[in-house]
Amino acid sequence: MPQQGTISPENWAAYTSRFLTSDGRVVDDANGGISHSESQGYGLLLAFLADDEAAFDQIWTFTKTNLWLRDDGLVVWKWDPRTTPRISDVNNASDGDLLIAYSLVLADRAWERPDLRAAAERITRAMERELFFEKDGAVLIRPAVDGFDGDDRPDGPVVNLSYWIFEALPVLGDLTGDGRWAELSKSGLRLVREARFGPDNLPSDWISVRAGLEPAAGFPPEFGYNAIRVPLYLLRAGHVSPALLLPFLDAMSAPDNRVPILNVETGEAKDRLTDPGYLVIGAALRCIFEGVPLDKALTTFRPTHYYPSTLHLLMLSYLAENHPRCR
Amino acid sequence: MNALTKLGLLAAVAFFAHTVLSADETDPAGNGAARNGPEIRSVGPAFLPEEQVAPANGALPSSADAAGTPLPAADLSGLRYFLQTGDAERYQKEVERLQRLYPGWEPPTDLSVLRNGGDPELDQMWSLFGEGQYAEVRRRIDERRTREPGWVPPDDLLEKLAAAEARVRLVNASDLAQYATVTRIAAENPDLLTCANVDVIWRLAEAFAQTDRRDRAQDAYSYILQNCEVPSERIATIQKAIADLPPEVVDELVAEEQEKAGSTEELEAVRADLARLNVSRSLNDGSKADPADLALVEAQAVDGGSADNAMLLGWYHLDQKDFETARSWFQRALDADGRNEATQGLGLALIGEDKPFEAEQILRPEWQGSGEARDNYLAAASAVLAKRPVVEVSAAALAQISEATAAARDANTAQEIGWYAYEIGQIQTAAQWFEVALSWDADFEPAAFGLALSLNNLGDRDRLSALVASWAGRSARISEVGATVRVRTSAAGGRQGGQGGAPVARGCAAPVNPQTLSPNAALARGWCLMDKDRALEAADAFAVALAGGSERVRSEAVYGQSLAYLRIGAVNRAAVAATQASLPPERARELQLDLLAKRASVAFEAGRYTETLLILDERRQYAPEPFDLSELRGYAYLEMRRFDDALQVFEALAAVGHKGGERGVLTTLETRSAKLSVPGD
Repeated sequence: MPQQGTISPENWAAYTSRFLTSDGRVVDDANGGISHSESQGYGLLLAFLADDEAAFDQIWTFTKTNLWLRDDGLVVWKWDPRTTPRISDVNNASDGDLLIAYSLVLADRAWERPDLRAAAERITRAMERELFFEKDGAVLIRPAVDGFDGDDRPDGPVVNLSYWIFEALPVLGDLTGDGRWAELSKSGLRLVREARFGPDNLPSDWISVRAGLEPAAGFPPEFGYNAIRVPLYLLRAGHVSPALLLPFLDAMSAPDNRVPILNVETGEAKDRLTDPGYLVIGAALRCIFEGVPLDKALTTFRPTHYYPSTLHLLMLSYLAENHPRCR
Repeated sequence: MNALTKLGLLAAVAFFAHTVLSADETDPAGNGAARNGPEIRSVGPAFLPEEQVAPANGALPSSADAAGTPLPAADLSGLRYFLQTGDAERYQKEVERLQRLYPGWEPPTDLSVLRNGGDPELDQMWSLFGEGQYAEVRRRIDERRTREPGWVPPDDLLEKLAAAEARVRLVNASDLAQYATVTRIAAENPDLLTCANVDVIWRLAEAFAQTDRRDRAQDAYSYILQNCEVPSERIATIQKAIADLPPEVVDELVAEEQEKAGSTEELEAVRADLARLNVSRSLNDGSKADPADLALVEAQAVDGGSADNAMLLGWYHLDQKDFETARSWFQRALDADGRNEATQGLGLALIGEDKPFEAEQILRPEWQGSGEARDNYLAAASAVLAKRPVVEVSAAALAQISEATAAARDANTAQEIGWYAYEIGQIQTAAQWFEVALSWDADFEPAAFGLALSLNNLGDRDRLSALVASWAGRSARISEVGATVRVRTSAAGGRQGGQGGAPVARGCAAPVNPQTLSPNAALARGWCLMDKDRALEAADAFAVALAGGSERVRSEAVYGQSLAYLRIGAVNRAAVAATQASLPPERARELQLDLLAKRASVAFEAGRYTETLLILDERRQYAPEPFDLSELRGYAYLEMRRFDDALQVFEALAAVGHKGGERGVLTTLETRSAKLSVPGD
């Protein structure tokens, strides 16, 4: 369980003033100003970490009334202010569901809110029912209800390793008592160890588990914007083992101080990211494993875009709680 | 009915939500004497979902507990807000509401108590609530609670906030067709289901109807009709029920509506809907509609407004096979708002009236609009192609027909194209289309029969035998075609087989720029190229003939070119339009007769006597047989050793003074005696 108050009021205010609207929408400003279950889930988690019940309720109100609509109890994944209707696809996104349910449980524990706990339980039960699947004896989570299974696509089933938000899994397991959440943690860690492709031994964003493990054919074979979160999630969940994290350390703390988007088959860098929200991940790994303190430019939070800024705050919160010397 | 009892029928629980949230201000809600505290939930309508559970917003205390207790100051916030906004009506309703909650309470006589002091921050929250900014209200409540640990938000605000959020959520789920979510939210928030929120009840009813719980949908609609007073909403309820529920259920609801209707205008409005419903029912089961209902719908259709009534009448009369009346209604609908559906109806009516050419023209531009439009177009196209005597179909139309046929994989139309090609002598094209038809429907006998005739005509005996064999025992007439092959091969030492229908077949192997040819030569070259299956070049050659020839050459070139396009399949429509020449119907008929005569001669020359007779028979359906063709008929009989038939023909010719008749009689007699005198022949 992460601690409340590990995001400073100043940093949180900087974040909300940029990305949170008064109607409770967390805006993905690099993506046409849309919101999605992931952005709402991140918003809820950050509000908890910032100990801001008011913002939490604000974000939850939007999430509940505009996205938590699916018949099966899961959350619609995308809301676009530019289109009518705002929602054009009722599919879910499993990382959004996870983040939301997890944050609701944290909020109940922090602020004694049985209404939030009841909502978390309904979403969690729906995830167990609709998203879990077994492959070769392992419990896995499909990225969404529709579109990723073996009969949906030739490379299916396809999973996304960055949808394993490891810190959430035991918490949701406690909530419903379903032992498969522990299995899911295990299968995720196994994927981290085994889905290592190409010269850099890195996972691709989308992994086909059809026969063995390989980069899913229907997506670019990239260690990209999705997978760069994996080390953050591992750290936050306390999986601080070199065996799990070294490939990420190697790739993400390169001397040129940039985070590459890598083709995992050729090892070529398609892009190099310089946003502090991405850089802080590799820097944190270096601090933890090599004792190199973080640059001041990374310990200071200045919002850039929604996604890297979110990762930035999550990492700073983690460091504040677990590695104060790194800050 | 006095105002108070009338109001008492209303469910007032959510009056605030209604007056704030709803644009419709006509509902005098908010004064139900029976409404007080806990009963609000217990009178939950009978149509509540069976999965009804305890309200999820259990954190929100019920206002009922407060009855009889001193009024917390915070509860004046609503009054204060209405006072500030100058809304006297709502102010009075709020006073009444508070008096129901707190019997004996009197509003302050000194309004400055409300104007001054008070709680501006809470007022702000109400104001935001009024604007629908629920997330912002939530945030401010939390912030104030954190800042002022003793502060408690008014129950009223929390309840209304929860209800308003639930309402938004239910509407959003309903818009996404997430019906289980809709019924769940309704079950958790029964207070939403009141006359003040008729829209919510409609959406719940729709959710029930869509998830096969029609009885509950009926209960929901019935609840509105029994309890809610706004005429427009009652009428809309019947209209929605008509859309959602089976007719017999609608009848029950209508009975309720008529019993409870507040005014004759309301009944009249519903009466028109019912007339529409009854006519739709007749349309569905093919029965005759009540003339009174028809008259009502007609009156509305003529009155203007939406074209729906005209459309309904069009479909009804179409179904009744009164095509002319149907056409006039579709035409009216089309004139009114030009919708595609009216075009479709119009086309179908024209087909019914046996005006396939007009139907084809009207339906052609829209055939790609939907599967139904395509089927309608193909129906028109088939009727056009099936016209006998064959009437020229423009190249543009043929191109569209081919494309639509291919898109639909419609064996019947493919077969009709085959017959059309066969009729105008393009046997190879015909064979191809018959084969296409069979590839889509292998058991389609008419296509197989057409293919058999075509193969016979082309002299392709191997394929014909295979075809006849595969249909053995399934089609007598295909077997007969097979039999004529044997007759023919034994009859005469005919010339080369194949090459049916080409009037002039000189060589065309060498590349020639058709522009350098005379119209006649271009025409000949066009046919030659068609025979060699070089349709693209043929189209060019025909174009030259079309541009400069005599009327006769041009007419034949039109045929040739449309056939070329037919064979090509896909057509450059601009090119087609440029080369298209229209033929007057009489000319088309003449040309058709002429082509048949040519085909008969060619068949005879090729030694295909059975076919010669078939073609002559066909021609005779459209026009009397001229002497020279009767003579040809006689010789065909003669070649087939049908001496009696030959004699009959020649004698008839001789009787009218045709010289060829006498010659024929003599030749026949000679041939017969020669045959008889040669034993063992």
